[in-house]
Amino acid sequence: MLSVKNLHASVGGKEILRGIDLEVKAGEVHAIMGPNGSGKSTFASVLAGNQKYEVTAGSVMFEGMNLLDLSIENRARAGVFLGFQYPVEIPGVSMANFMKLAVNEQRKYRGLDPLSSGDFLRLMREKTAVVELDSKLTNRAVNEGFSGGEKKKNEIFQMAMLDPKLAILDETDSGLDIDALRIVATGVTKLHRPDNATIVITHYQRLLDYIVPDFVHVLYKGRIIHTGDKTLALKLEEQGYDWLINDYQ
Amino acid sequence: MNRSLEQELSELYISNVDMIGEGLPERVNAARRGFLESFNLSSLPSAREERYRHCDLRKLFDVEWEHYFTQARERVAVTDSLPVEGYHVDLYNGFCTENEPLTILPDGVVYGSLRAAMREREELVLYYYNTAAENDAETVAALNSLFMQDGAFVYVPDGVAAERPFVLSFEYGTQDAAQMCFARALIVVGRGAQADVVVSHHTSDGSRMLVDCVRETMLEDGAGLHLSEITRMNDQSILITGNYLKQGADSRAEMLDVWLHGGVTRVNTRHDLAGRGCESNLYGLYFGTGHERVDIDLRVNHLVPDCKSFESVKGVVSGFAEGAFNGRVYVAPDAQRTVAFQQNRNLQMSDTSKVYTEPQLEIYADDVKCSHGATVGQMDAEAIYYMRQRGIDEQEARRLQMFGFVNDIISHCPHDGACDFVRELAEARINDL
Repeated sequence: MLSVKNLHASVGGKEILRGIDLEVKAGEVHAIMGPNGSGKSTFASVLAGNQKYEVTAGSVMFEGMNLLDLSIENRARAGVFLGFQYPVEIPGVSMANFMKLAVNEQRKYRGLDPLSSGDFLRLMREKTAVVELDSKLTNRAVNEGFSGGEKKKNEIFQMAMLDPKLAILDETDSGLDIDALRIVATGVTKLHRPDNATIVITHYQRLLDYIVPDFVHVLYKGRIIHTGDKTLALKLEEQGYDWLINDYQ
Repeated sequence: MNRSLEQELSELYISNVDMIGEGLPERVNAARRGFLESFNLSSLPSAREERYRHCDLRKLFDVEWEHYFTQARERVAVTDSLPVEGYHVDLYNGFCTENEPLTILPDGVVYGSLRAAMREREELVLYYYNTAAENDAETVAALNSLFMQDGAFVYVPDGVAAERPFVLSFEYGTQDAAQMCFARALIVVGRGAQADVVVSHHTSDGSRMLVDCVRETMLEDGAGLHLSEITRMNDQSILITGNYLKQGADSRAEMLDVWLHGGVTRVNTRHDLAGRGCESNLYGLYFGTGHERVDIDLRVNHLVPDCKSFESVKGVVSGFAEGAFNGRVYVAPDAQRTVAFQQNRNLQMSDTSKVYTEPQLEIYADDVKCSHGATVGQMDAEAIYYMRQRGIDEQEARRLQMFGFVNDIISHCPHDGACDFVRELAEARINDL
């Protein structure tokens, strides 16, 4: 599904990603961990197409397409979803209108007719239940006045609405209390299917108690320095990153 | 040399004095001498005056403006009426249909031509006329009072809730030379009465116009007013308008003012909160594209205790447009327990557009809750990125963000019929930015 080869990216002339290689297949869950400043969020942003970052070398193929050639919106329409670490507030634009537009733009890209208002409302109701999102929030402006937990639930709600092939969740667990964490993680698990894939970026092992990864990668100074299975996360929780970093150096 | 502009206008008045005063009550005409004097004493403000820094009236008036004292008005019918059902008053270049009688409804509601009202209801009209307009302080108001020949009049008697909205359509146009005209409105809502008023200012063609307009709105004790005003002037036009509101005790005003188009738009808004416990809320929105200029001068005067005021004015400028906001909330020494909030927020869409904003508070009472704020910002790139990541294309994301910006103003439209119309106009405006 996703094939990243020797990906280099920089921001303002400073190189952040220094040769990332990653293969993600349908049905897999990958976790990316690593110390602060290792390039985790940059990697997510580059996949989504954030123009702040300049790709200087390497390639990213997604479902047979050169992802780096696509605009931000076309990457989204092709099935790449980014759960933001800091979801953005959009005053004056209601969640319902925002989602209706997004869902229908994506449908248009796939050659489908726009959803009728009735079908859209049904879809909203069904998906708000997945993340136990207060349905009143869908009448409010996007993320405006949402608590930290609500913002993160709202990201997973949007993921549920858009049904992406590849979901990249950028520190979705940060700032969540244990209940919200459980709800968000359970939501992600419920949405997981053999034909989609998830990349979870996290600092903490505790998210991986709920979302069980097939692979755990450790990112350090813009490179994946180690890959293991779910037990790696536990080991990292106990021992930190130093043993890997020392090995690497 | 500077005097010549005032002299020309004074001479224009003096040489046409009979025509101007023809058929109007003697008291109205007698008062004009005072306006002539105050107009002559103070000159038209130039950009050197603080309040007119961004709108040089001398330059605007210093053009060969034609003025017609006898408009063809056998049958005034506006071509671009608002799609609002109600009691319509149509004006062309400030005049209603000649000799059209006032409409007097069984519940005592009166509406129609101000000229007709002055003739048929002299006592009633003159009790209110020119009691709110700042003829001493504002040269353009004095000029309007000097040349006033007609206008729109609305009166809702004590205790009556007018059944339908009043729709005042001010249409302006001229086929030939650049024309100056004077427009006037007097709206009176009696004790405990309720009125809905929708006002439109619009041009019917692309000709050059200078419009000097004064609207006086008087709310007696316990009165309620919903007012929406929509301005759609061509880009050659100059609209200078004085909106004067005087509120009695426990009265309440809900207002929406949308300035969609206009070459130069200067708005002098004065709200006098003169009766205890009254409340006024104003939502304003302006757009500027091309070389349009919008200059809003908004004063709210808390003269007595226990009143509340709220103003939120937003602007969107692009191209080479200029927007200016000068707001002041004044709280008199004994106006205790005043609650006042004023804000001006602007979205600047191009590097070549300009926004000047200056909200001010002037407080002489000690037990008050007052605040103000102003912002000038660009589109939020993070929000655009966020929307695009959900599959919305860039142009649509920008449109959505702009619409979001203006939506919290137009969502306060107090008139069901007018709201959809205002929303459509605003959306159309956003689409051409």
